[in-house]
Amino acid sequence: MKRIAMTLFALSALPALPVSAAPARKLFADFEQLPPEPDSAYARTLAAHQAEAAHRPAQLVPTLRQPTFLDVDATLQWTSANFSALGKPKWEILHQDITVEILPASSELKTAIVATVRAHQPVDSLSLLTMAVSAIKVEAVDGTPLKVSASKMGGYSGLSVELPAPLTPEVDWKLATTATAKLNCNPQGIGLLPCGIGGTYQWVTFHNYYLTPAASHSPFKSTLHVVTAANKVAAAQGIPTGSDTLADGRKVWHFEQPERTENAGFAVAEYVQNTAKLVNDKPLRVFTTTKYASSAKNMVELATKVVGVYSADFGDFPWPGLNLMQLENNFGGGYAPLSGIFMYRDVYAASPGTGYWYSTTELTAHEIGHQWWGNLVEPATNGDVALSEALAEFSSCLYTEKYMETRSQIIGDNLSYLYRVPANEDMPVGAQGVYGTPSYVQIVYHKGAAVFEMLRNEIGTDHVLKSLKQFAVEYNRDYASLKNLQAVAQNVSKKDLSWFWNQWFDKKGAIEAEVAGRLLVDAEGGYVVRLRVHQTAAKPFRFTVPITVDYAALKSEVKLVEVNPKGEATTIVEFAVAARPIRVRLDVQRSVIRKFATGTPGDFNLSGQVDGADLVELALRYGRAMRIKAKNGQEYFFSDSGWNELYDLKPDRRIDMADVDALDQWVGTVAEEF
Amino acid sequence: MTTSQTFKRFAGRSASTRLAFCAALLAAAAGCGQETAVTAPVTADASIAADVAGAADAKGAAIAEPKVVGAGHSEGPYVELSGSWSADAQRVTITVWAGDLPNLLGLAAHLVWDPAQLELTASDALNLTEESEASGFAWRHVLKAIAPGRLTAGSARFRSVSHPYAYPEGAKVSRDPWLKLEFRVLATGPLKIGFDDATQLARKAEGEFIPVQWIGATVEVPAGFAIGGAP
Ligand SMILES: [Zn+2]
Repeated sequence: MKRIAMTLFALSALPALPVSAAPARKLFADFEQLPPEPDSAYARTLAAHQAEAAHRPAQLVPTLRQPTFLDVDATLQWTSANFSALGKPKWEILHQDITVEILPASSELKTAIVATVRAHQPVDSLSLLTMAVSAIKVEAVDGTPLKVSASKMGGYSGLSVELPAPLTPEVDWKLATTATAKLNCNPQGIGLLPCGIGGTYQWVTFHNYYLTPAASHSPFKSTLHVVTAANKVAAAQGIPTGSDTLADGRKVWHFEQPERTENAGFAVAEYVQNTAKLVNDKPLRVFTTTKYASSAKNMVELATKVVGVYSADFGDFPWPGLNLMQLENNFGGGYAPLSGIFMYRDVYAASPGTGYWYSTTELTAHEIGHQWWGNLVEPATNGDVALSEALAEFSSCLYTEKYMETRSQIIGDNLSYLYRVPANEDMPVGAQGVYGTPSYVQIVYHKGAAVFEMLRNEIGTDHVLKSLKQFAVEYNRDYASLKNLQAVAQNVSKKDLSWFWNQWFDKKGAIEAEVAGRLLVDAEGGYVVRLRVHQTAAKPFRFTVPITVDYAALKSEVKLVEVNPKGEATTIVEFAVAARPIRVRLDVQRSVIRKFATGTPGDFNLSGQVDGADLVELALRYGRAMRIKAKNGQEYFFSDSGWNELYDLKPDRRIDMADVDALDQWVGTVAEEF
Repeated sequence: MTTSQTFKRFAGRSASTRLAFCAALLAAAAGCGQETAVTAPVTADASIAADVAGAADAKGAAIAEPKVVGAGHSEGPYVELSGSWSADAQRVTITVWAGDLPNLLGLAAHLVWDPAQLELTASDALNLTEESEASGFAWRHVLKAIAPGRLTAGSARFRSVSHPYAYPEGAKVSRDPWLKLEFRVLATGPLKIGFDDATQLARKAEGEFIPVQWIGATVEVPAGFAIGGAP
């Protein structure tokens, strides 16, 4: 039974407290690096992205980071189809015929390569890179031995080949190498070739180091022959062109890669194939072990759908087909060379309707995104890697938003940057050295995707998609920079985006702002919402924020409001509303890289007064948290897509009773005039 | 009311609500600001008792008393007022009822009246459902006179434990008292107490707004009624 107790009070002295009387208060929780909650969707995503990031070799040879040929003459015009951004090299490898065999017993990889070389100027020696080899022989294809000196370069071998006579320009010449390399396998191998020699799967991913004149950017066409045991099947990117049986019973599996690329790998297992037709009747082949053959039908359906969606959004699927390869679970993520994708085992077991399906879809849509971003259009420099990773991730986010009907991926990416990057690890998304920060994944993959998401607020989703399609056409089979994309987006949107590119790609950081609201009545009796956005950053951010205005009778509208501080800490914006709003909400879908705090403390609904409605708003967010305590007392980072720091009135990354308690002192406060 | 009952009654509410409430509204009243949740209501109850004694003496000749007239609700969720004249206290006592709310997370509104006609002398917000440590939930309230003739009230149901896997959960409110108010009468005639349209809201745990009939009431104070009452 509820009893009543009356409290007496005097009403005489109740002036509304002006907010300026408030003591200085903390707006946002301090940064704290907590480990991600094990087995959470966020932990899976992060692991997958980090695994993929480990496949970038640039880190391995720091002195060779520059994206130029070792031997380039920038004054020459590059006339071969595409790759115009490379500059014309003195010589290049046009094609490699590669035979590989993994020797599991000795953990070795045998390679035999016949490289077709074309000079554009007379050259008398060739500098090459290959994997770290323990034995190598180089000869002209007619059998003439060539003098070669090898040196260790990081995890790779640098070769210097002396030619019997200078190469004649524009006349193709061939050299052959045979090499044996000791494999010290690490599935996410940093400093090593990523590889695995397990009982079920044996695989190597090379990036561009079969044989290359440069640390990066020397695409070649190829024919790949993989020698396997009699009971095994090889899978790789490119077009499978059949197999032969050797005299001793071993098999050789052939793949034709008709496109110039520097991304490659292969895998060997007792694979079976699921096949389907992609758009334009191009073949999809999904290679799994027998055990996963049935569940992999879900992957076939998913990949077919994603390729279809991207073909419509970014332009026709550019390659002759797409092959998906299953690898062991400790591969951890995906790797997407041109026309092929390697992904870890369990995604081929996932089925729609289960929790795992969501992670599977995110990863698959990201890797398929690389068929356009990273393969069709390649980043010109390490500072442009967002063109590969951020665009692949953004594409995946667009896919899950539309076809999984959830924004949790893009929100998770946004939060991952906001809450996982310590200030001393932060770097601009477009920084040349961004691969060097331990927060590389959170910055390039996660913030990068969130930056493209913000572009939707600036120029609209249609213009974003149109820009990406145009970009993929203009820079197909070529290298491009972030600036190139800016130019395309400006051209499509007819808007100057230099401030956006500068703020989000050239500079680091995120928006932190206090937002206060007031409701005003204009001369005609119409309602006007006025907002005061206060930023403390040295250079306040310009941004466009979607603002949801809720009215009685369950009506709402969303307004895109531009905050353009022009260097000032405080920006006042206002907009007319159709009626007296029940509440005004900022960035409900978290499409802005921001932390907002209430400028009138506790005025969550931006009504201009802290009242009972703010308590109800708080109740709806109660429990949301960016940290979680496990039963053993260990605190973990938790990615909560319902998180909104606005309600974290007593900031500790948890919306809890402390925030409810903190609201009490502000009840009755009215927004100061602005 | 025994002390232990008083304690139980307030145990369901948070001490901090009570303290803030005191701090804001009763700053001048001795023994409030530092009171704990346990003792604060005892003080209040004692004051009421004193009031009652004084009021009885002050009561004048028998004339018609004020009465509270409400419109009554139709089918569906409602918040409405009922009340009566307390001759002992010399106050109009009002109960704000909430009813027919099958999944209520929280509700809020501003109560408004003409401060020249009525003076709010006491107010309290009540838990809309019985909650305890065992139920794992607690109601929290916001209740404050924010301007003459305007009282903001808000109540919401919170879990005792905040955890990202534990989502908000609404409660079924059949018909329960939400607010208890006391007014001193400052004028005669029909005196309206109602809800400010623009501030009314009730929400489900999923965030959905609940359409609610917010029904005010009229205090009919007969001509010749001695206005004022006990101080
Ligand atoms: Zn990627």
